[in-house]
Amino acid sequence: MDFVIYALMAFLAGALMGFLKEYKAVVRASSFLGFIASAFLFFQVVDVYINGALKTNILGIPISIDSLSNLFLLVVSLIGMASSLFSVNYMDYYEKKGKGWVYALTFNTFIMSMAFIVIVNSFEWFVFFWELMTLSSFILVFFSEEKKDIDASLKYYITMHFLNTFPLFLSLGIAYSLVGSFSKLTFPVIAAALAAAPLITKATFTILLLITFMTKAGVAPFHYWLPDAHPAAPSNVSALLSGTMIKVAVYGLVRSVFTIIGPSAILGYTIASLGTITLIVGTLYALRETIGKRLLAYHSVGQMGYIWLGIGIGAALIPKGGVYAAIGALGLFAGLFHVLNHAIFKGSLFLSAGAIIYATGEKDLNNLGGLGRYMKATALAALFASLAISGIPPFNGFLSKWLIYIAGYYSTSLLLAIGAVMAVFISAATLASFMKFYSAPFGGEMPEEKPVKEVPLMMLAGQWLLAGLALLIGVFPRIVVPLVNLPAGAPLKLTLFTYGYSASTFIPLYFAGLIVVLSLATYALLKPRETVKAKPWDCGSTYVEEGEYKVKADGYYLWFEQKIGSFYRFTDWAYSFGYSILKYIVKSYLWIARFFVKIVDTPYTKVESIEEIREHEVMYIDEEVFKPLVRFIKVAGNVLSGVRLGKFIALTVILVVVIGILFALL
Amino acid sequence: MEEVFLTIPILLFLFGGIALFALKRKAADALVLIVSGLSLLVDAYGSYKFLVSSKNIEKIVFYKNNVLGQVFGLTVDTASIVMSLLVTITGFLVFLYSAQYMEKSPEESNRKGYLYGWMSIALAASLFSIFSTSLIQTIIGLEVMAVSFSLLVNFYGINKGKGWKLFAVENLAVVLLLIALGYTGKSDLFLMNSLSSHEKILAFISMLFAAFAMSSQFFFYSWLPDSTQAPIPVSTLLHSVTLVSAGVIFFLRMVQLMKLPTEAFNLVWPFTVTMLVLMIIYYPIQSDAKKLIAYSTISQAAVSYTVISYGILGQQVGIQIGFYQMINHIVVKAIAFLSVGFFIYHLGTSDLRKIKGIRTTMPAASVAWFLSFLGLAGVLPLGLFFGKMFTIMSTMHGVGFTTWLIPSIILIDSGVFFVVVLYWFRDIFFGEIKLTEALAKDLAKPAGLMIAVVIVFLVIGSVMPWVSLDMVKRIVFLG
Repeated sequence: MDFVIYALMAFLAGALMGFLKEYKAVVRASSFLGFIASAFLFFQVVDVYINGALKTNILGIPISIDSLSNLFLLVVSLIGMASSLFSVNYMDYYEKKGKGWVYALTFNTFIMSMAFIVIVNSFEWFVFFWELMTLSSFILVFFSEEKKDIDASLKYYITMHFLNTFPLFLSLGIAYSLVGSFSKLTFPVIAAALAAAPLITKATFTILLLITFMTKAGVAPFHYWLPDAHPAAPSNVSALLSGTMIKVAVYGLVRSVFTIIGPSAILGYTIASLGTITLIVGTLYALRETIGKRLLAYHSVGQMGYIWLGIGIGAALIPKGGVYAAIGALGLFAGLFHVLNHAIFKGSLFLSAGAIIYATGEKDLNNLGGLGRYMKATALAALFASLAISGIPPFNGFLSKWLIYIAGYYSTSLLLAIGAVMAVFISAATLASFMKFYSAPFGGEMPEEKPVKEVPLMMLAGQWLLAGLALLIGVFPRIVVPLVNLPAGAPLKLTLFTYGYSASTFIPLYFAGLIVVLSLATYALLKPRETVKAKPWDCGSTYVEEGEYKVKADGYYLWFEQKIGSFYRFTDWAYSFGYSILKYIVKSYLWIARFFVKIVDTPYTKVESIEEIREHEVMYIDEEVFKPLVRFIKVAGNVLSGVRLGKFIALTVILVVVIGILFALL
Repeated sequence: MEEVFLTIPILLFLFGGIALFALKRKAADALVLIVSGLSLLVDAYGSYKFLVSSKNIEKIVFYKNNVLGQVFGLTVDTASIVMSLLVTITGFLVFLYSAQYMEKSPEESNRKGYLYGWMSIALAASLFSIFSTSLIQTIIGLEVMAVSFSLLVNFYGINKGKGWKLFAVENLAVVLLLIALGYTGKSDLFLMNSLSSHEKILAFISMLFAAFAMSSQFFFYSWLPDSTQAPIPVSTLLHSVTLVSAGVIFFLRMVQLMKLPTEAFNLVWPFTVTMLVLMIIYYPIQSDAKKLIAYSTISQAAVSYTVISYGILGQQVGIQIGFYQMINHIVVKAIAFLSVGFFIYHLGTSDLRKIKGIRTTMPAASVAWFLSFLGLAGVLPLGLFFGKMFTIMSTMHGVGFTTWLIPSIILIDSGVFFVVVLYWFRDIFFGEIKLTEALAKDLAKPAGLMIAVVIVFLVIGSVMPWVSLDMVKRIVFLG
């Protein structure tokens, strides 16, 4: 059954809610319809899982939902539902901006475009929806209209234009030149044409797509836009950006590597290496971050590294066949499973961060504390999601990370094994980072005692839909693993209770039971004493304020950050190197541009910025070339005042001459 | 032969235009809307009749000479039909917009008849050229457009040299066309197919540079940015459905009908690529919104010329996509100019350095500006996205290093324009504005009709790429 059509209709209805008058009515109705539409997408996923792949045509758009598309459609639908539910109340926070119709239009378009990207079977439509996704997300990123958010949105959109749109257009051009038809650019047809193409064409096509998907996924070194753009957006949108949009890039990667280009060792090792670098860079940068949503955004970069590592292992080993193919499939499965898991816990984390902002108006973890007492449900959801991203069993993040490690170890490839080892180490940094993310706002005392209320029920529902899933999948992986494993076909050991590969087996339910029993026993044996409030002992010091005794977010890992200072210095240098290149491009441009403005009267004028050059009159080449002639005519006209003709007469003479020539020819 | 109906809009615009000179204010509004509305209806009927038929082309001859071939007549095919529809739709909507826009001051309102008269005549001349495959007919159309627009550019009486510059350049085009006419001894482009390769190349050079002059291409390009001193409705017509497009259509006819030798391809792209490179330099230094649009017109026309020139290499898809790019550009360009019209109407300036906070002060105009300026850079939802996409795809038909050079330059051009627009967007869309009493009064001026026109254009611009894609596939080699 084509639930997608109903979803499309609901998204359109959601977008049209912008015509309502009241801001609150607009955002609530459009968000609710976004939820309904996402629910239809979820029904479609279930339908395809039960009845098999779907091939259809919607408004002339060729649709093909195979197992890979179905997995990513599941991601879109789950995060779409949670984010939409959360938005029903959360968007009240932006009421003063008063542009509900923009939200209604772009929010629904954003989710809809992501859904279509993963189900269309045409490269042209893929590009079309990709661009629609980028445009709608760009508008949502600057929704707050704060200067730094606008700058972040510009950085995002410019990056996407040069590193997404251009490579996509060029790869589309290559595909067209190989296939020879605008209307037959389906993925299998392109794959067949590419198989017979020269190596240089194939390599160019691959590099262009790799750049596209690296940039959108936030893979190093093209991740620089992400920590600015994801936090800039409203939190319900941040959840979609980090939870879904960057996963859509992974869909593009997997679709192009496994359906169009074909996996190969060199491609696999490249993807895995990029993944390893990214997981290190993203996570270590997150560790020193104190703005909650920025911290989460850097972790999106880091977690994307895990996913690319898993997929890279798959692409490198599957072509080798035999037992390697099995390990490769395991890596691919683990990567895909982490796509789903990361979408769930990261979506939940961003919604929790949004709940904190909604309740307190504060983004900086340094200025937060003690919220656990007032926002218990939000705190618990954030705790679940934090444990999940840190790879702590029995939450879902552990299951996928664990198999990425196993696939790396079993690969017998030094490069892939190093990737897996780094992934384990970095997982510890992730845990450290989320100890900060959780304890800084929810633990301790509030810096200033303020009345804080738990967020409305719908916002909690959004958070808990995902946080609950993080635990549920962690304990009962069988709920989703068969669906996730369909495109990968990994030889998993999977029963109702067990999960693993070969001799490595994990029984999540037993582990969860053990944790519960141990927790209860610990609680019973070491029951916390009644809290006694006491002033901190200050050794008699009189100049230290009481508030300064609290360890703030920026002090958590200061020592560690100093120890790995050279890493930060190197990456900071890489950032500044990038900016220097941009600076020199602008400088070179200015050098050229000064020849196209009239600064000849003041030849020593220094032009150091585009703003300065705009102060001068623009110069046109044709005008300058013919200036002497025009001056001569003017002077001649003035000197020979006797033959000075009125312009109308001149016009008439020219007309008469032209018409005369025409008639002469006739 | 229902296509003969297509003559009526030309006559309506011509005689209606002459009658308009005698009118002022509301009377001028009423007559011009009747004339343009009727033209649109008749043109739509004629176009419908042609499009539902299975014909590729229909030639209606009014005057024929044994040596020159067809001198006056209508060449009706998908290209001319789609263009004529765009001319009549844009004409009607621009007049509707002008009815409110030209109420800025009593002086302007009094001169409406003069303005509408020349605009109407220019539209007649444009239609006359569009349906032409005859050099003589094209020359006459071009000359009338040159006269009309040179006077319209000088409408406000400031810097009159700019209007005369337009007139001089377009007459240079006329001279070049006369040279081609004299050299070949043929007026009908259909007959030029019988020329030798050498003769074709020589005639082509002359006609190509004439077309370039019409579309503000190499070497005489500065008249187009200068011409933006005209009232906004005039600039809208000039950049969208008249002179610039007439040049592109004329070039399309050459490629479509003359079966040019493949060497002719190398006579086109070096000049169009040069223009693209020049515009890349000009975009960032320009702070006047109208001139920025003019640069974009030059580069978009250069792209259309380049893509159509793939037809010379035997790629029919070149003429189809080149035309597709041009018609989508027409609508986006119209919206861009009309959106800037709001700035002039309310704030009295198109200098982007002086404009701030349009998001709150002019919400409708700000949306139109945002969509159209980004649309010119090839961003969704307007049609130039598709134009750019198919353009890049079709440039893969190039030869040698042009296969990568041309798409690269086109992408860099649109990329630089995109960045420039985004930075202006940051500065003018948001920002703080000091709301003085005078400014508040200006902002409160009625603009409902203008907004309605822009909304209709936005709808057309969003629908156009989908509707026109199948239509352009009917444009084929005819020579």
